[in-house]
Amino acid sequence: MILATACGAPCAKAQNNWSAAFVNAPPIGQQILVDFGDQLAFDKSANTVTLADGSTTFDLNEVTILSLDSNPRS
Amino acid sequence: MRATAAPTASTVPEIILTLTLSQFVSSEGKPISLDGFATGTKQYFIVLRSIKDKQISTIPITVKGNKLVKLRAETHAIQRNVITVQVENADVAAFYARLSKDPSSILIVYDFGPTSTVSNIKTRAKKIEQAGSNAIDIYPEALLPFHSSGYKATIQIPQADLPSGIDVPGTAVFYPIGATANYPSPTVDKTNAIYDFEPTLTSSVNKSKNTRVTSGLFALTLNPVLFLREKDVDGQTRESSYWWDFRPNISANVDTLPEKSSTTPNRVTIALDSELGLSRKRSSGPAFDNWTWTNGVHSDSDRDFKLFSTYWHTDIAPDFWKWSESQGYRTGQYVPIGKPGLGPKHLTVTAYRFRPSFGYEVGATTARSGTIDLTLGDSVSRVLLKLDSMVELWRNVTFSAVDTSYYLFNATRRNARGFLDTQVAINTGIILRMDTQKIQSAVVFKYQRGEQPPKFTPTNTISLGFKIYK
Repeated sequence: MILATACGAPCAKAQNNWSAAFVNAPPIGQQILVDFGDQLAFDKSANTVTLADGSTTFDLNEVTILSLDSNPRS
Repeated sequence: MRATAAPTASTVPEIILTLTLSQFVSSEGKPISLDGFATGTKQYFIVLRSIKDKQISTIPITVKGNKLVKLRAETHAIQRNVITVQVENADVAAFYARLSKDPSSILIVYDFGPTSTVSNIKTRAKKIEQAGSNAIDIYPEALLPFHSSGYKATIQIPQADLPSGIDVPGTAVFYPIGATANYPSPTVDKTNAIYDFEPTLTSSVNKSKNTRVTSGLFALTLNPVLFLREKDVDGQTRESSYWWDFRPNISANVDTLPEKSSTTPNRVTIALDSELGLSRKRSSGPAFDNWTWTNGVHSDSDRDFKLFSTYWHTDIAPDFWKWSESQGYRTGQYVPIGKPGLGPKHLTVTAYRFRPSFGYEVGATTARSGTIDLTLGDSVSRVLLKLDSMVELWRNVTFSAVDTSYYLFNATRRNARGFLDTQVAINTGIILRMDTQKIQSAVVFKYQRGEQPPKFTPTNTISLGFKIYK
């Protein structure tokens, strides 16, 4: 799945083994857990994570969420 | 929207398996809830940016709505023609559009509870109106009826018209929304069961001996309403309704003096009465008038059961609009629940009654021992006019006066007789902690004067005592 129009930048398809799960349990509240299918390397000073195969490093300061309404009946 | 991202806390800090995103905020920095919608699901994409080539990766995620759709019904303090349904977390306009296609598909049930003698009423919605951004007014065909106690009004919404997000069992056709309704009856005479016990210390005048004697006087009244049935109270628009009941009555006034010298109102009455009532709507406004026709067999005797009068009693009593108002009705009308009062917070006159009745009695008098008063004769034929009046102040002080005038057709002299019973009662239910089970207590001051059946002995008494009543 590619969001070519929404990004304003080159987009890439997520890997098949990437997944995300939403949880909302008090008292912690709303969270999304993102699983990349393998271990991550965390760089605390740069606030980045690098995938296990070293192919990509993500900037954790720039994580955004886009929403698309689905089944909006009420 | 943006999220704060961090490695998920783990028991082994050097091994990171997942990222945790939290603290979702809008582009303006305001907190955002991802599941803050009522029903269905929303699709989101997590957007991650690569440091190296600025390439963007997206991960889809589906979130289920977490807000409950709520429908709540409420009645109004004065208006009996409308029930308002409050809608939370749903599209009211869409809900209204579905309901307005066929308002008559909405059923409304008035449930008076298992102890009421009135049958439940089932009606439909006549019309509906959208009331603001989150409510719908439902106008029933049958008005919310008056009833002596509060009751339940249930609106049954067809399942197909419900907003999504409400859990309804698959087999259910309707979804019930309950509301409480409280519109006390304007008159309470026909539904009141009476228990009254008055032990008093009484000072009575003996006119023939020109003396005043102090004694104990005990009054007991049991006057329950049995088998009350009502007709034409199904909530439909009608000009009149009827009720009937069986009302046995035991009333005893006895003192502690010897019968010969007693001049207090010694009388024991056993009555088997039935009442037939008519409530008739006035030509204008919501007001209605009541008429009660009483018929029954009475037996009067003196305290020692030496002299008996057994006779048939009939009387008719009007309760016209505004002639009588109960405490519940007056206070309920004055300060509607949930609305600011229009005047002072407390009523001075909290109840009142003016209830005249006109009757006739015919029968015979027999003596078990002793002789029958020749002036009165051994037959009973008399008309009576009774004026029953009461004013209650501040809920706790009651002034009452019952004046009964007789005309004795068979008396050889003084055909016109009368008996006046006046009373001031100060309710002590709370002070004496005896207001349980709705039994009230009061300090009572009584003045009784006149003559009453069966012996028509002249009495003139002042009493001070206690009263337990319901």
